[in-house]
Amino acid sequence: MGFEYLYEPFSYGFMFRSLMVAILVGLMLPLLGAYVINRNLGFMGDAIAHASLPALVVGLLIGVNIVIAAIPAAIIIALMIGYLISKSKIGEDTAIGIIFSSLFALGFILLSIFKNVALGVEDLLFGQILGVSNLDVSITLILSVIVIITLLIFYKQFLFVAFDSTGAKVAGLRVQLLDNIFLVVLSVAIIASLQSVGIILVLSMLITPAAAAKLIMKSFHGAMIVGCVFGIIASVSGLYLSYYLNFPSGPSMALAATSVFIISLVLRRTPIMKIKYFSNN
Amino acid sequence: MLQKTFNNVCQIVSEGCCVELGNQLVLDDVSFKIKKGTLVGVVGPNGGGKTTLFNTILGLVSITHGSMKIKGLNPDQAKGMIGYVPQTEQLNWKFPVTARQVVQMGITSNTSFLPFFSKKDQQLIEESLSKVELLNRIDDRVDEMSGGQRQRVFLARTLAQGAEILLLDEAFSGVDIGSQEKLLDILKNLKDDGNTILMSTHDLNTIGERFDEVLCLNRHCCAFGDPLKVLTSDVLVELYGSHNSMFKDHTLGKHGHTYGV
Repeated sequence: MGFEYLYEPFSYGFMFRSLMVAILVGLMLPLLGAYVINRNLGFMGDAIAHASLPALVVGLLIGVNIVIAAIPAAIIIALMIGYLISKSKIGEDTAIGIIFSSLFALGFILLSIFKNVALGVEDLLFGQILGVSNLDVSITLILSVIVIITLLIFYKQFLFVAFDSTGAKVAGLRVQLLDNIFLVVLSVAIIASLQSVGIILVLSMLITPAAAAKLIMKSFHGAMIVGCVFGIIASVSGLYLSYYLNFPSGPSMALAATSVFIISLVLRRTPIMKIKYFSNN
Repeated sequence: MLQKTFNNVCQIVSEGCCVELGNQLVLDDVSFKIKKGTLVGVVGPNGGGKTTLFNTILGLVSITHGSMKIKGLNPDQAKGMIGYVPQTEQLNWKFPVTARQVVQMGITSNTSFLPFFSKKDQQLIEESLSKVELLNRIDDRVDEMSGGQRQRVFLARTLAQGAEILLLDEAFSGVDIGSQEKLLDILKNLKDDGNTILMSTHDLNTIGERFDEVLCLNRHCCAFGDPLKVLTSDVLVELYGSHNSMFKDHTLGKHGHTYGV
């Protein structure tokens, strides 16, 4: 009774594959986003995505799966930015800005030199989740398992370092190493999501569901869990929009995430916030 | 043998300690010995080296000359033995942590994997919070607490950590007088349990009454000892310059009661 709109698309194999990827992306990015929004790392996430463009193009040229080509590059970029932030005298925003704009520019120059690359620029920039292959699904699955397990294992340490990094150093934690592990996980997750959300809008799925959850939840872990639920709602809704209205998947998911954020803003003003686990400020 | 016993009694021994930051000598030939079970106030002007001294004890900056021993160990070997209560401005308050989570950090090491804690750990966390009289707020957010309560949550963290040497950096900043008294009462209890406590402060009024010893720091150690004996006007001039007239009634146990006596 009208519900066939919801499940009918999944009778196609490609839609089922897209759904898998959408769920994984919706789960993985907000999980990291919970840290990212509280540590001012949003610009860093954006930079990792943009700076991976040359690696994506090279991957396409030599015919490797673009995710596999981009991951080592993104890890190197993330660690390089992390190193520059700790050493540079020009300020972290500036250091990040210089690296990411240069690499993004290099990526476009490469694209214009090799015009016969077998992928639309638009798909790289805005995502095309409907085109994922079986191999893409497997790679995304493996990468998200790695990301989620790492976040679980180092949950306590990441929390400590994010809240009180001097205290963590004093307690004998290896703060620099933990920060690097976090940056590596962040780049892996971002690259794994590029096909669905695209370079330009990966930031949206990284921070918007997490921010929406932070608005209404009292505790950090509560916000983490609710952020994942919001993320999955946003990515799957984006997938429907993509399927029925033929929108690119990145912008569809981004606008769905924004809608979730607005709903959170409204919820904050309702009596629901008096319930124990919700934020009361 | 005698030396060894002495080191056991003295928790922190600084001998001619010099620290350079950049090209500036921030600590110059600082020497003192702090005995177990004392409450020491560290006073001095801004930029006088209080925070640097703490960072040296914590092993965060390296010593150029001289030595600093914590229970006979070098600071970087003693990491984890010292409980540290940071200045509240150093913390990332965007992070919505509860009192329970802050205290959990005290028992978080490089190898404490997965987000779960054992029953024993939970018990330790509850005990530590009850020692600072905040057990009833265990699941409340620390960013929503008052300045004094925040300091007590961080004290509980050092207790869970099992530290016997506690460093408090400017613990009174942004804390009202009532809460300062409460904090001092708790510090006294902890001291009586055998903990050694160093606290940097700008409040000279409480020093004489509530602290066992005072360490006056203005790049070098101007004075160290019983606050009622060492806080002379000469020392105050050395610490704060000629503007010390405003402190003149606070020396040698007078605490400003000159008038009408």
